[in-house]
Amino acid sequence: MPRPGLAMALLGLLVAGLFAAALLTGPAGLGPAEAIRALLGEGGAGAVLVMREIRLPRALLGLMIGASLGLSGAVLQGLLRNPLAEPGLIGVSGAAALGAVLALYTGLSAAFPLALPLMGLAGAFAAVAALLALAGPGSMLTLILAGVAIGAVASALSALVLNLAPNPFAALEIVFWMLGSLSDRSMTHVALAGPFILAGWAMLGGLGRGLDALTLGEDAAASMGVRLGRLRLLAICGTAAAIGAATAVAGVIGFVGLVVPHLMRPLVGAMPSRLLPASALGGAAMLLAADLAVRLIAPGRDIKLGVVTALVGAPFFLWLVLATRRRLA
Amino acid sequence: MTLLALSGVTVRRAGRAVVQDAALTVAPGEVVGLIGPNAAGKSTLLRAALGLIAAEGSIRLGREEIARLSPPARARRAAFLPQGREIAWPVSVRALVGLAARDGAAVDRALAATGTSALADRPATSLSGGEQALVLLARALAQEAPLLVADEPLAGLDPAHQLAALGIFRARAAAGQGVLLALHELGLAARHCDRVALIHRGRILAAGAPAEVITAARLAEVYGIEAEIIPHPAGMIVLPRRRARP
Repeated sequence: MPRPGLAMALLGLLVAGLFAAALLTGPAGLGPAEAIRALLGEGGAGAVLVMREIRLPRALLGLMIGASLGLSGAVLQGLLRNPLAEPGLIGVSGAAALGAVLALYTGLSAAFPLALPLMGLAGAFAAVAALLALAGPGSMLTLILAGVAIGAVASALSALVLNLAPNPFAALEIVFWMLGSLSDRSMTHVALAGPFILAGWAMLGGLGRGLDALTLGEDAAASMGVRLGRLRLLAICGTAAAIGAATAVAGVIGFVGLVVPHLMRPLVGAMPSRLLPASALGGAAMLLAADLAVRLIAPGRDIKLGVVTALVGAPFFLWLVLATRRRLA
Repeated sequence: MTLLALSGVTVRRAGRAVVQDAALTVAPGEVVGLIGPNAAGKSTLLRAALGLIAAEGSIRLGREEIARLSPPARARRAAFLPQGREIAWPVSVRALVGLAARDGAAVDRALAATGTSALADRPATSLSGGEQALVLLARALAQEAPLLVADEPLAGLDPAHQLAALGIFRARAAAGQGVLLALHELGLAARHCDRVALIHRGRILAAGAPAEVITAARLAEVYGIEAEIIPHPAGMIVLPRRRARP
């Protein structure tokens, strides 16, 4: 029997612990007391710089992006009533990646570093506009199909850009960026992505009750008083804002949005209104943990975050498949 | 005052009228059956009556035109049990029944009325088809709206579960609420509904007391069958014998 209250409290503690660990981990060799003082602006200028300009933005982005992935994954699974739905499904992350790849390819990002996240955001906006125009007011099916089509176009164009890369180093830079990472991000990235991510959370956070009703299908939900058109619009725009901004600053981070809701269901139950906040916390915990693993396991090799989440997430998913099979047998 | 009043209702799909100029009322205290062959427009008419799809004509829930009511206001006036028994997630029966309930007491009443209180803590997806049907009915009851609309609520149920559901509909009518059911089983419709409406190719051909609407001649015309109508103390028995020769 799930114990939602206890599970949420433990998840909250886990996220707080991982956030603190993220602030205390790094090659600068600061002790905990020194790190906290530096975070508050005391102590040596170097330590203050490390804490405020390197570790804090990285930890904040891990928290925000992880929560966005978990939350929007849970929302989309509830909206589409499909356990395989994930934030990448609506094509926005692919389009944001394309925008960023173009910034790298054209050299804009070398001349003006913020061009990369800004073009990523532009790609995400274009994708949302195309998605809403293509899907129309009608069904969830046209929405998914339009999202898949936009994602396919974006990934094809990204591949084309890669194909046309002027030299192997440019190609490598693009590929590495696409693998997803939180290293070397600044507070400017936080300021750039933060408002969109918070706006996305505001749109997604209140959808729980409507998604609960959708458990019984669209007709039943509408007859229970759910405004389906509004629900759909908020779910898509909220996901697009949060995931578009997240991808624009961190690249494509897969598997978190897919796996986290599955991990949370045994803990808090399958009702979307319970699952949404739990998945936000679970996503934050998973991404913070993955980013810690990146720094602790192979500090010198710069293993990309998206690689770690897929490496960890896929076996988790397999385990879930086996657990489900045992339960059904 | 009627709970539901349709007049001149037409529903178009891809330019074709799938329901045409339909009129139907449901008053407090009555169970009304909507019968007709597959694809006659039963589900479409029910969905239009609840404002789930666009329709021309006048649809009133209580005193108000449905177009002027917000979705939550509609939900307070009418509860709907759709045809498919879709339950997407393994949520507990209690949580599922409470989806549109005002409070826990309403959930308890609905569970008790359907005899599903013992299932309250089970995952709804682990129940048998009959149990799921009763639990989904409890979900609609827990909305505690004066009108209950159910699309094929008896399909796929054994006689015990059918009688349980029919008993619930009758009890609601006795309590002064209204029930509108789409049904395929003509004998059940004849015995358990106060009035029936026969819909064929989108038009309501006849409406009234079951004995007046369900006649051998109409069944031949609408279903293309030769049927015997057998009087019985508990109501009439409809016995389809063979398909009529064209």
